[in-house]
Amino acid sequence: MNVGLPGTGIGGLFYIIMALMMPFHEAVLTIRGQSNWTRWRKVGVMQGIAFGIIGSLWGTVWLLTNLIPTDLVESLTGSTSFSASSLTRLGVPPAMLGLLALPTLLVVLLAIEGMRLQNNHRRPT
Amino acid sequence: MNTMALPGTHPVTQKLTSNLTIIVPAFNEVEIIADTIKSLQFQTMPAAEIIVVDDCSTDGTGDIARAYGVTVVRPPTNTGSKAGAQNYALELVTTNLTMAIDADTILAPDAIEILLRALDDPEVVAACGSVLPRHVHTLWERGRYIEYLLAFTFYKPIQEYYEKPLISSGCFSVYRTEVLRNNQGWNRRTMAEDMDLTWTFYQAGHKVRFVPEAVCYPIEPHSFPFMRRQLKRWSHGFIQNVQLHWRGILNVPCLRSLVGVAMWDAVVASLAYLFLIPLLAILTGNPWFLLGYLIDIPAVIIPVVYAAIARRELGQALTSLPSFFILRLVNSIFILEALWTEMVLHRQLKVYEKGH
Repeated sequence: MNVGLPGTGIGGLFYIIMALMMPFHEAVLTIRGQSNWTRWRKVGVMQGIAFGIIGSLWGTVWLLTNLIPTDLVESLTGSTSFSASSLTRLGVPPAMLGLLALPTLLVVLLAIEGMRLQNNHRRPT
Repeated sequence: MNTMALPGTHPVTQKLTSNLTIIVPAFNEVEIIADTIKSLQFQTMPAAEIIVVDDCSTDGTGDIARAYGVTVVRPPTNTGSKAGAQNYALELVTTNLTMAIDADTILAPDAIEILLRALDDPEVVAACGSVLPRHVHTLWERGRYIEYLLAFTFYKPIQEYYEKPLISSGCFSVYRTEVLRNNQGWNRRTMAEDMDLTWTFYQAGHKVRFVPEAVCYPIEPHSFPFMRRQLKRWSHGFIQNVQLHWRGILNVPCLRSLVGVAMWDAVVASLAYLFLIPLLAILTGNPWFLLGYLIDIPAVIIPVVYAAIARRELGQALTSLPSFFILRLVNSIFILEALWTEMVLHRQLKVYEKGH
């Protein structure tokens, strides 16, 4: 996620959400007269990258679920228990795969907020 | 970069002056110090003074630096770390701004001019630029190249947008001298003095900026022994800073989430890469689990391709992509080692080993 640190899991999701929140944040700044064209351009670039990531993830899942023949999966693995094709048969929409990390991210963010509240509560006045 | 003058001549682009001193800590850098100094002298906005700290080199680094007309200081004994060498020179700085540049790092010709604009805002006390490897040949350099493209194209601009760059990179950052001195310079209590300084600034209510257009080119570790030293230092530095600052940064909006998510992701991803994925593949006899190593290719490739196209380096980026996944696996080993040593065994890494 950051240079020298492994992981793009919930970290990647966190940054995508932060990127998607940018236009709303920028709109507020625009109303306050604190924005300009250069800032909106940067927001646009980040939106493009964020939607590009979402689109490519979606495309990858679609590819796995629709283009890889089940027969091939079975012959390679001897089982379809964890193949992408079996997910489709079970009625799991591809988008759900991308959303699995969301509850985890929420728990982590809530835990951080909890630690902050506890820390401030303990702090001597 | 290749249109630089010989020692003793004056750069033709020296039209502007600035209230800036550049500190270059150097220990046995005879092969590369000249390129670093030349890139500083040929800036569109050159510094008022360049101080090379010859940290008791034994290879004539100081003599080479002197030949280029910069100030060279030599402490009585080796300071033992980059932070120590930088602090030694900080006492000599007379300008309002101080820049830290690694001895193996060259700058784009307009890097300083662009970076200094961030300090027009009086609330900003530090600013850093983008980083890209100077050489992209070996597996390790290629892996790091992709890491940088990804981080400086997607993650860091988002951190900057929310006014909380996670770190003002030590290889190329500028600071307000007074604030730096009030902080007693670069602290040596962790292996990542730049992260320590950045988080200290945030807790004091200061602003730090990331300016992507200001670009520097360090020499990255080209082999595993050198990469090992750097990753060990960075991993331990990150864990040490989390241990040191966690209470303080809980009260810094956005930063607390950035650090918390980074910590979680680093630990969980490392456990998944090193244990969960291979164990699942072995225990179930299902090789499809190994796709877990590559499942996030789409999330990596989009920012990387965007940056590579802009830099006209698409071929280099695509051929370097596999190296990123290998480096990430190696990163996992070091972050878990650092976590175990620092947090469980309470054995703090204190010896600073150079990355090259």
